[in-house]
Amino acid sequence: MRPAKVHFTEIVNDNMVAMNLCLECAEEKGIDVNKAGSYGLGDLVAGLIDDTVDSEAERISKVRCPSCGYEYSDFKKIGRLGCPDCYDAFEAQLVQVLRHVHGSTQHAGKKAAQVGERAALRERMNVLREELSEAIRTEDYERAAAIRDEIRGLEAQVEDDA
Amino acid sequence: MSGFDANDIVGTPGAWLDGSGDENEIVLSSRVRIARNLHGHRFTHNCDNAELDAILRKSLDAARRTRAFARSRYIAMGEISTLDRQLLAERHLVSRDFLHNSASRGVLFTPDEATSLMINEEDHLRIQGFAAGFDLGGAFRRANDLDDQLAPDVEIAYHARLGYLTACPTNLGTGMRVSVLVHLPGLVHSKEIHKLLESLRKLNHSIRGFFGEGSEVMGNFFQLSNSAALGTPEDVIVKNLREMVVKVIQYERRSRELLFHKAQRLLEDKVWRAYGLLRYARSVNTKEALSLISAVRLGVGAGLVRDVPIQTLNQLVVYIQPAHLQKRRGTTMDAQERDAARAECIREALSRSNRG
Ligand SMILES: [Zn+2]
Ligand SMILES: [Zn+2]
Repeated sequence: MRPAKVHFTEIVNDNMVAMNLCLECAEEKGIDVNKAGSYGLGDLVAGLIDDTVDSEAERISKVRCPSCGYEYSDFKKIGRLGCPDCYDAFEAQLVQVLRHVHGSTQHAGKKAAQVGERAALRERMNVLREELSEAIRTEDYERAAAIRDEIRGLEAQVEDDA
Repeated sequence: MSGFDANDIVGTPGAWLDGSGDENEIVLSSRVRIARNLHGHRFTHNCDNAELDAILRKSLDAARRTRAFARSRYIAMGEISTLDRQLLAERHLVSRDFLHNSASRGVLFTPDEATSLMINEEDHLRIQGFAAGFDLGGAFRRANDLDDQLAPDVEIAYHARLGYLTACPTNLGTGMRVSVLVHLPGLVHSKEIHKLLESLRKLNHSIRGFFGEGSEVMGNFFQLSNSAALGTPEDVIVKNLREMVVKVIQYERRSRELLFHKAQRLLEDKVWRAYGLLRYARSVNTKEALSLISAVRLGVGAGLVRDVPIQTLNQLVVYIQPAHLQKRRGTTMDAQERDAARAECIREALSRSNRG
């Protein structure tokens, strides 16, 4: 695990934005990590970690992802999210980070409409195969024949795509 | 058993690192990396071993169905030696991260090494496309094709508004990092590099030293890349970087011309001293070697050094690295022995091109 090692704060539209990046990503963003402590470049104000102690900050840091149990404070420590669902859980907090890093909060590229299509078909086929052996075991041959037809249909679909 | 034998690949620099390609005086190689994660799993750094294994199994299953990897073997990091891992890292087929974390981690790559897939890196899937010289389109096509081939067979974490979800928010959206490895001695010597750095940053691109840790720059080699991955379509990210690189190339050429105009004798002396050292030195460390290679590259670009092809120098950048030296000798070596082997490797390459 690469902990977040670079902390800096930037003023964006009069708002303080705290950033916590792992070393690698900070370097990729072109932040000179050796100077991060006394950074004069651009509009970065260094050394101010967002420990502006107030109850709001306290509350925010305790927001928890329901899927993986990650807290927002974990993200600040490590510089990475715990799971894909964290993006929804920490949505409000991440908006400023995204605006800072990307200058945007809206994806505009490749769409994943077809993602996992064949994987889903195969998953469905596995379920059907189990149902098929169950139907054969209980000697429900009418049902078995129907399931077999459905499996053949799916097989043809998987092959067509391949 | 992965059946991987590093000796199969160590004798060639890999198609994309052979030093050829457009603008190869300044641009050594082009690379596109795409990050993807599997739906329904925690990110790699947050996984226990069982979950890492499950991710690996699903990813491998999908990878083996792709056309790209029809003739490729999976190399499990845990099953190869440290030296072999290092060799793969020196060829950019795996990241430095894989040197330390090897359990349930591995890589597949095509025989030409131009398309590769790391499994369980910072993101579950790290797709890479490479090309020699200045060819971002070629690198993008390779990476994007593999992404398309994987997509039907694995459920990817995707968000309607945020795009592809990644462990680090800096990669969110397209999950794409487009980069070139460039040699910029003209801009460094004329002290223009900081101005470039500043303006690139304003234009949402970044530049950093390619070799060495932190901010240390060795041999004036830099990596130039996009820094925003969200909010811009992939083809536009590629186009933006391409336009940026075209400008950097012009800028570098002009700096070199100006330098030679202002300090011809000084530069000629620097180039030929470097050439002499590389031809005759008996011991040289990586840092010195890169700096000497940098000076000779400058000399080749200026038409001073005529008997060394730029391609030979580009290949040396790969061959002089520690794991390559040791694998090519077939023995492990300490730092002193490596320095001697490095000097010999360079002498051989230069005298070969000198005769040829
Ligand atoms: Zn990161
Ligand atoms: Zn989560």
